[in-house]
Order: sequence, then structure tokens, then C-alpha cells
Amino acid sequence: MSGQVLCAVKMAPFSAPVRLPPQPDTRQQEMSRQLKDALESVIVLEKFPKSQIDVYVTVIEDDGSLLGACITAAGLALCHANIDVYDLVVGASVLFRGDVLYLDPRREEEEVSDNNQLTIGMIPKHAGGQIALMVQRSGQVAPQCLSECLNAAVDLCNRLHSLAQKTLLVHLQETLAHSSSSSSSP
Amino acid sequence: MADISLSEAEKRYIVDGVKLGIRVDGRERLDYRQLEIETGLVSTANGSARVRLGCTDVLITVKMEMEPPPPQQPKDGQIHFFVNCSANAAPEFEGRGGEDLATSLSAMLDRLYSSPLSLDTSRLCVVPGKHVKVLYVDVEILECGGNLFDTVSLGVKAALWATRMPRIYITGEDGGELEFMVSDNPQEVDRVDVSNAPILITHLRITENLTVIDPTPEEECCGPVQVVVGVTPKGLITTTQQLGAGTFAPQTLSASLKVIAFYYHPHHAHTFWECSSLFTLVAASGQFSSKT
Repeated sequence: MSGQVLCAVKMAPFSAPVRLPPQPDTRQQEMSRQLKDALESVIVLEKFPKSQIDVYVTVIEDDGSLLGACITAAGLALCHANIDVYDLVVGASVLFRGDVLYLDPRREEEEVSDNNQLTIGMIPKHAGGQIALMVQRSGQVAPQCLSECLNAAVDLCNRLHSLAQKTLLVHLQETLAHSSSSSSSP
Repeated sequence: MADISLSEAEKRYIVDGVKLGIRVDGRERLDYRQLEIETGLVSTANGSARVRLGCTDVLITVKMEMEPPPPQQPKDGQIHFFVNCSANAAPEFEGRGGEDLATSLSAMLDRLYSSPLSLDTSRLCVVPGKHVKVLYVDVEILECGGNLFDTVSLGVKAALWATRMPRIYITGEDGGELEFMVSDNPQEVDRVDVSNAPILITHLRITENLTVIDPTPEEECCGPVQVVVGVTPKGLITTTQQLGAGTFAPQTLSASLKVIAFYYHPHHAHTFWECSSLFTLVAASGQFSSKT
């Protein structure tokens, strides 16, 4: 039996302009489930038989593109925890209103009604780029337009991926430098 | 979803068949199974529908209540979805087993109907800021035979179409409280306009770059990942969600989205299982069962 993933996205009561109740509401449950779906297809679960990987995300402040940010954060945390993944997973969000695309929208932009939002989670370097999660909500849009948005989101993911890689690399260099200096001093 | 275990050889048989363009039950990749819709079954509800798609069986009821609206939307009625996965449908739904599926189904329906373009909730208003109509849509899963999302969305649309709400008259005011009279004339009813209400279409990724629609439980075993697309009669996409552990190539996703647009195009409508004809059927008769 391969490993299992448990995800919990929790929004702090002060993370939004309106105070949120401490119990997770349907939106948080839905995000937890979506994150779980994404991570299950990213983690090499065969390497973790009879075990469970718990991923807890606490949102301190929500300024838009929340699900995308959660995915990126979870991906980086998995790498930091030395858990085998097929590739570093990154999430990105695109908002589209009329003909205008908003990459990585802010909260105010999200709140305007009559807009469409597309969030994807992606492993860009695995098998030529694979989408682990795709969520689009509210509004009505022609399929061609949605394909365009998908391409834009994929581009954004590719850019985020190199950034995320750099972050990991810097972190690694810092820890290496730190450990070598601390071991040489005594 | 359903508790089926297939051997590698059986899976291979299904997947190789799809690669050749034919499925185990003789359908092509983009064919639906036989579909039956029946409306007006439950007399205690304002509207009800039962949908059978292959072995999948769902019962949907709509009840209307009058409630004060939330302060941020004083003029809009509301629609709430509750899904109950009966333990009769699958043994694993016993106790709290079906809860995950139920929440994802109701969240999907919430999103499907969240846009005012899908369902005009302002028409459910009785007295702005004081009383609005709230529609409670209860979904009962009776049997799980694959493709639950599509079946439920069809049922919800049919049940909303069949919903008849008694007309409400404001007769007077007494100390700031409004008095209502509910018409008991069966002819005097309000209907819900579902002409723009979307339905869901599920694409199951069966192998690299190949998707099938309306998967059977056996096919769902072969491919863990599916993309559910909400689409209106005009061919516009309202919501999309990828479900299950697995990944799609971006090209496959784009192709799945375009297929939906293609089949919804008026010139190609006859080649599809006549989604559009289903919409007319739902709009044309009260009680029917349609063969596709």
C-alpha cells in the first residue's frame, strides 16, 4: 500500500478583511481537497509505503491567488522536508475579464464580480510539463479564451518554477555554509 | 469511486480499445450511455427529478423557503446544494465515508450556479432586504455507476426546471410586519428560468492524450484523473475542475475544452448525444424519459 497524503488549509481568523470563524468553512475544505489532489499526483507515493504525509497550510494574509500560493508553498515545503517528488510543484492564478488577462490577481481584482479565475498547479519539468490541478470558477467564457488563459498560466508557472528552484538553491547554499562554519570553529 | 478491482490485463484491454477508438460497451470515445430523466416524482417537494445514466441513479428534490437575505446581498435569492451519498449506493459510503465526495459535489454545484448568468437569483426576491426565496436542492445518490458529476448536474437542471413555487402576494402590513398570502391555485405558480443553466461534462484521461466522456466504473479504474467542465447551452464554459490524483498535459486539457465547444456548435449538435436536444426535452415536457 503506497503512502497517503493529508492536507489541511486553514485561514487565520485575521487573514481577510472580514473576520473568519476559527472552524474551517466550505471554501477551506474545498481548498484542502484540491491541494491534496495536486500533491498526490506530485509526490512519489510508492517510496512511502504504509505512511502518511501531512501537509498543513496556514494562511496568514489573503491578498489574492490564494490557491496558487498554497500549492507553491506546499511544493517548496515538501522539498525542504526531503520528500521525493516528480518535480517541484508550483501554482499560478490568472484572472480574465473581457479581453484582459490579469496574471497573479490581487484580492481587490478578484472581488470584482463577473470575472473568471483560473488556477493551475503544475510540474513544468516532468514529462514535458504536466498539470496536476486545474480549477476555474465563476463567470462564463468561450473555450478558446480558456485555452489562452491556460497557456498564460502555464507560462507563469514556468517562470515561477525557476524562481522557486533558485530559492531552494540559495537555502541549500546557506545551510551548507552555516554547517561548515559551525563545524570548523571548534 | 465504486469498489471494483481490475487486473492489469483487463485494464490493458480497456485502454487499448480506447486507443483504437472503441470502448468495451461498443461506444465511441465521445458517446453517452442511455439516459432517462423523470420529473415531478416527489409530491412533498416543489420540484424533483430522477436521472438514470447507465447504472448511475440519482434523485434530486428542490424545496423553496422564505428567509431574510444576508445584508451584503439584500436583493438576491439563494440556492443551496446538499448532497447525500446513500450507503445503498456503495458500501464505502457507510457512516462518514461518502462525505468527501458529497462536499466536492456540492462545492462543484455551488460554483456551477454561482454566476448570475447561469441562474438569475434576483428573480427570487420577494421584498428587498426582508424576504427572499431560498431554494434548497437536495441530491440523493441512489446508485453509483460511473460519471456521477454529469448525472447530478443534469438532474439538478431538470429538477429546477420542474420546480413550481406557489405565487406569494403581499396583502398588508401589521405593525411593521408584512402579511403574506400564498396562492393555493395550482395554476398560479412561479417557475425557475433554467434556459441558461449549465451542465457538467466529465472527461476521463484514459491514457496519454486520450480522454473519454461518460466513463463507466471500470473505465474510471483505468484512469485516476478527470476534468469536469461546466458548460452552458451556448457553449460557454462556466467552471472547470480537475479531480483525482494524476496529471494532464496542457495540450490534452485544451483539446478536451475544444471538443466541448466543437460539439456544442449548432452545426455539429446532431453528432453529439444531443445535449441541446436534451435541453429542449427538459424544456418541453413535464414527465418524460428520453432515449439517446
